[in-house]
Amino acid sequence: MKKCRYCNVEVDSDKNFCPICFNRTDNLDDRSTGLYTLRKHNETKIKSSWFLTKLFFFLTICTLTASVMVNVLVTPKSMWSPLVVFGELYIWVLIAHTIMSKRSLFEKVFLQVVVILLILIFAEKLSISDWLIPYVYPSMSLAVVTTLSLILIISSKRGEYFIGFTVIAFLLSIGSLVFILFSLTGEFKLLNYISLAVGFSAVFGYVLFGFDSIKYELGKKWHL
Amino acid sequence: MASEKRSLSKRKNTWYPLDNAAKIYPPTASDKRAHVFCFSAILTEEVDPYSLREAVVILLEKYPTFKTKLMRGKFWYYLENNDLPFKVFKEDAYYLKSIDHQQNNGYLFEVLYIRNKITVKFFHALTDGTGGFNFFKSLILTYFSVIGKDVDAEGLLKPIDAPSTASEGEDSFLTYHNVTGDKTEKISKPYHIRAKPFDYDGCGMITAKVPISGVKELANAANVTITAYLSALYSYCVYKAFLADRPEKNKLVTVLIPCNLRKKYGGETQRNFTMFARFSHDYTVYDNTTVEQLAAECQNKMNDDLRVEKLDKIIDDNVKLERNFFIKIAPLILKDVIMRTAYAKVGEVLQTVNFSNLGLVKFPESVSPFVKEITFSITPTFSCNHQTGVIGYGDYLYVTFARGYVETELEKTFIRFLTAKGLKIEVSSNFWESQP
Repeated sequence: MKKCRYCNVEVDSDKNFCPICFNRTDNLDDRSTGLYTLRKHNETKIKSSWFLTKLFFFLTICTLTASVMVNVLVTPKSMWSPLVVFGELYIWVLIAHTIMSKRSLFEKVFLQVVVILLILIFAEKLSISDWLIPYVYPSMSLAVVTTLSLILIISSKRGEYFIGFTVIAFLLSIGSLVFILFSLTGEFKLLNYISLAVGFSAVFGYVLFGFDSIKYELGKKWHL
Repeated sequence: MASEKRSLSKRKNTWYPLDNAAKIYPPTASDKRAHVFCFSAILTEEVDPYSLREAVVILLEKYPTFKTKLMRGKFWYYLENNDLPFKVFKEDAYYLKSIDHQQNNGYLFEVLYIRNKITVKFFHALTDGTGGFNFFKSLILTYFSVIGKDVDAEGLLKPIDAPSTASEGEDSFLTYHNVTGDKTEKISKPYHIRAKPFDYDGCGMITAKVPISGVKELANAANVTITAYLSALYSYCVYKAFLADRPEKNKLVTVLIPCNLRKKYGGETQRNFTMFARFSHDYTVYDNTTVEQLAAECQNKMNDDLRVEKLDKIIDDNVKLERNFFIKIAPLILKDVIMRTAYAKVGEVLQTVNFSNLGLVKFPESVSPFVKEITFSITPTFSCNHQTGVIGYGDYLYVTFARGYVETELEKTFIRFLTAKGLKIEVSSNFWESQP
């Protein structure tokens, strides 16, 4: 125990100065309660400076600027650089939302589907042939529904996934239905028909087998 | 199918909606705003970590709302039963920080030990100071029981074998909310302490061990409670330390004083059930008001703010907001944004400092010989970078200042004021400002 004659307090410390006024203290005795553990070297980290984020952001801007410049100067007739911009944005979404974050699987899959679709729409706008609606969309829809079904079969946490996966499968099927009803698929409709059938079957199956879990999760996550 | 049904009915009550006050904490929590408070006990003997862990495991069965993890729903956050093993950790120098849920298996409280000290740290979404302290007391009792001491709850604590009751897990804001009440008043934005932050993570902590009798005499002389007296002194010290000689335009100092609503409304919930008194004093034209005059002013404000009619109105407004149809149907992502924005406008920004007094606490007579000291501390945040926790144990008040900046001017003014009144004070610090 030390004594600070300036503050007129007893100081419980091994240090030779007062923690309040920083003046030197006098020794009193060896008593100590040990209320606090003192900081050691390398125990505390310097406040984060977001270096990696800044570096990544800087590189993104450099790449975007370079691609736009090259596009405008070398191939001004074909505007491909917006696709690079979109691709870079997608990488940000992929890292921040899907890889790094602790969001639910539903949110990750949902955003991935939306962003990939947007990129594909964008890519199709830049190309000549119509390949997105008749081929890419239904194929992706089938792949997603198959993956989700496999996850539901093998995962021990399947109860938590039923609602989200049902919503995703339903929305993907609705997409195919809209394309078929409004004749947006062109001549090749087969894949969209398959996607529609598989999607709705999956929705029916999820609801049928996961009804109790869906009811439980609705109460828990939606407070219904 | 039958077993599926059984398992579903078994897990029916394994989730809990957050209570009304707790809803603000998850979306606004971050590394810079931990929403954490903690209790520490200095024991007479070295802590055995294995027995400590065993005590927590026993206790978790009695406090089911503590055996939970925080989950994101689609519309609200909620607490879900946590079956992962509980771990206790060795305390390091910087323990008053956010709870690492990944390391901690998702639990919303953390139990730390070092030498003869046990610390329990709580995330505010789980419970408030009173609920947390009840758990802490029970933990100490259970720990001593586990290590073979002859201890008994003696009616002061929940007995070791007592089961949990439904009322302990209730949201008392919903139970006691009343539709009548006064109008709520408009609050002005106060001064915020501007000082040099630490270059590294962490916060400076200073605990002053002050004799209760001395403080009581001072408070009695001013005809106010200890909380009102110390809050007024705290406000005065903010002025003296940061405003007296500085050309600040805004010299309104607001001290936020949490109040335990269980004393007003009853109930034995272990979850949040706290409301606040807000003592503001404008020092723009300082007319040498004494601490005693400030204390009287603070006492009046506390009496007014903590009138049942006024509390009824605030609780009712909060419950109405939670039950508002548009709020209910807004997805959680949107609610997060709304709550963060609202908190930035009407949360910590409306207080200069926080002063939380848990009052005089008692352990059963069979336990108290083994507990030397108790402290209560609250994490400072970037917008309210000085917070003080007070707890009375034995003959002393333990006043723990936690700050997010280097200067100790406020503590110096506070402690020197009390020593000048003849009080004998003992001080401990984590010396965060000095080089190791």
